[in-house]
Amino acid sequence: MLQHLVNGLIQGGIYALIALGYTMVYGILGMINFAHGEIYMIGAYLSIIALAVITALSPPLAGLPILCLFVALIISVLFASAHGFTVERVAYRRLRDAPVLSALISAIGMSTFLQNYIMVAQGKENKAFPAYFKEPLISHPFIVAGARITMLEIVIIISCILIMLGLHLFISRTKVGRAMRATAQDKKMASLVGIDINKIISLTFIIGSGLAAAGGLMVSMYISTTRFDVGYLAGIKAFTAAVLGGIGNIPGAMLGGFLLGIVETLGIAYISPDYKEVYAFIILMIVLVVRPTGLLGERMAEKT
Amino acid sequence: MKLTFGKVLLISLWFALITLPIVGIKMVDSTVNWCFGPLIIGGLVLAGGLIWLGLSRWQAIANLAKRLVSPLSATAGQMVKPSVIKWETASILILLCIIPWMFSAKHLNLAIDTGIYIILALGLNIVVGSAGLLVLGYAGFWAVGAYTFALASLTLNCPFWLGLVIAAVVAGLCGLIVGLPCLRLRGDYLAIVTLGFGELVRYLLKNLPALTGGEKGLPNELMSGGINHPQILGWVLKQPIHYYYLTLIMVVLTVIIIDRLNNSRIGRAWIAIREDEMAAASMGINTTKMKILAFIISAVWAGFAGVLYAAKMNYITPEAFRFEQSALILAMVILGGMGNTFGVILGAMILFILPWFIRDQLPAFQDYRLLIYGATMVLMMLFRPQGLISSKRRQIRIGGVAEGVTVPAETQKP
Repeated sequence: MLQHLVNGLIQGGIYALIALGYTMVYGILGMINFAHGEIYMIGAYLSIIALAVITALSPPLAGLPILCLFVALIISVLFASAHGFTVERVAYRRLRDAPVLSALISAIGMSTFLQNYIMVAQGKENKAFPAYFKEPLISHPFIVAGARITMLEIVIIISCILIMLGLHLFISRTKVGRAMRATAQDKKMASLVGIDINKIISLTFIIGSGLAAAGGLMVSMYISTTRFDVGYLAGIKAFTAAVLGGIGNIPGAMLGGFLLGIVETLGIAYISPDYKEVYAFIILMIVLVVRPTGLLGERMAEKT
Repeated sequence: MKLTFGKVLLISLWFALITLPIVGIKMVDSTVNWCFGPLIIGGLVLAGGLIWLGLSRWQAIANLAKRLVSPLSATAGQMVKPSVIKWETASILILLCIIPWMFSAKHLNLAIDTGIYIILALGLNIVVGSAGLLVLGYAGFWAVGAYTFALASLTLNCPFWLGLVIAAVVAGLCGLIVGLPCLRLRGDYLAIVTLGFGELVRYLLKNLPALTGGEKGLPNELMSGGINHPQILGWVLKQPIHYYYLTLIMVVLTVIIIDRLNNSRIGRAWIAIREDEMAAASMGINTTKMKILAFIISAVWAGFAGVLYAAKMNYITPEAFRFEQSALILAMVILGGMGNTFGVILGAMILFILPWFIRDQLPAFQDYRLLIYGATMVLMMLFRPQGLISSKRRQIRIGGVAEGVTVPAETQKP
């Protein structure tokens, strides 16, 4: 049971990281950023590529696996943020005042594009995460109440929680965070009080993409592999998490992510692993039927 | 934002930079190879930017391009008017009836598949183009139709024509079940729920081997035999040429029915909802009912296409109904022009036939297909949201009054 709970927490933490990007963009632009799952996948690829480059270029640095992981994390977050920023500039900015449908279709196109861009550039086969770098993190598992917990699992859960805490503090305490909240409430009024809306929106995409890339690195490290099409499912599940918690609501996305992860792992353990991908969809449909505003959301469903 | 040479240079450098790790590095068994990919991409962006600059500087060219495009779309827009098209339609139909005799088997097959995709695209157009609701799991309804017929045929030996009815009812019911809860919500929830539905259907088909054959598809060793071909008075239609004519008839019927629907009270209600839901509701339109109606009719058409597909292929697997297919059908509707029947048919033909020929001639191009679909969808939304051929009502709304289009008197009134 504890083992399943730990797995669920890890899965959930990752979903929450991705869901934050969805919920932040939805809160500000009122659109579903379909390409967000792809950014997560790009983050995973970037971290693997960065590690490969580090190994190839400077063997002495590769002697310090933890440091390498940090460098890879920074590279992956930087480049993924650049991708998120570019996606917004290219595909969404011009459509900000267009009908919601146009932006949504553009986002779907962008998602298909990014997925196939990775496929064409990096190949269709699975990419393995170099096992050498995670070796020190999994070599000495703790045994707690019959559950086998590795250092890696603890690190992932703690970093997810730390990142989310940091984001929460950033949004609730800093000036820029306040500007973001103001923009989410009313774009026009925010611009009247001197907030540069374009900058805030770009920043939202940059932060969201960075979080997704961190999630991508952690997942590819945890399950040791990634593929060009993982972003699609992860994206839908993270979106489910965002809806579950109340879309547009940042603590809600975190709660929804953890809940979804735990429900999914328990479902795999106690019902059937065959339907692994189906639980999220069923939860999504139930939430939309029973409580479309989500667990923590108070936003009205009909907003025009 | 005014584009200058310096900015173009900066943008292309930026693209070269961000694509550096992904395109510029090839990993082969833990060795790292650098390649020129980013430079090529940067160069492409630079070239595109320079052409753009040149165009905007050289107004004459831009105007010429505009003048070339607008009459094309204007005449095509005229073509949908029933009074004008009679003549052309008749000749096109006669042509379509004659040409298959000159086709090879390969091309005949292509023509049938294109026909099925045209039916699907027209069906999706009802809900996306007319009613303005985004459905992302259309392949799910298609799969429901195909599997319903295949199962009915294999277990109960159900004939094709009855299968059409049953599959339409089942697909329509699925549409009702999916649509009912989420049509009261915002449009983008519908998009995501239908996306979930499409995936749900595929996973269920994959994971219920006793009923649907799982990944092996139908028919399999548990449920052997063939899926029934259509029969007319004991005459079995199983040659490709028969399927060609069957598909042609179904496409023509679809076009006629959709044309009638669009010009009816229901069609006008859909357009009103698409343009402004609140205004439509205040004019006395029951918006929820109309939206569900659009959704169901669209699902029914996917069911028809599914039956035709199952009978023609005689073998179906869950993998034939992936999200890719839903996206492809959506791309057809968008490329052709949402809400315009002629445009959607054109879009379906372009997006199905062109890649087929490229694949036939240049197999290496295969991988770039979806990349280009995605880019096309984004570019269309950015530069020509009304599609290649816009429906008249849309054209007036989107671009103000386009050149060369005479505005009908009714729309000029305030």
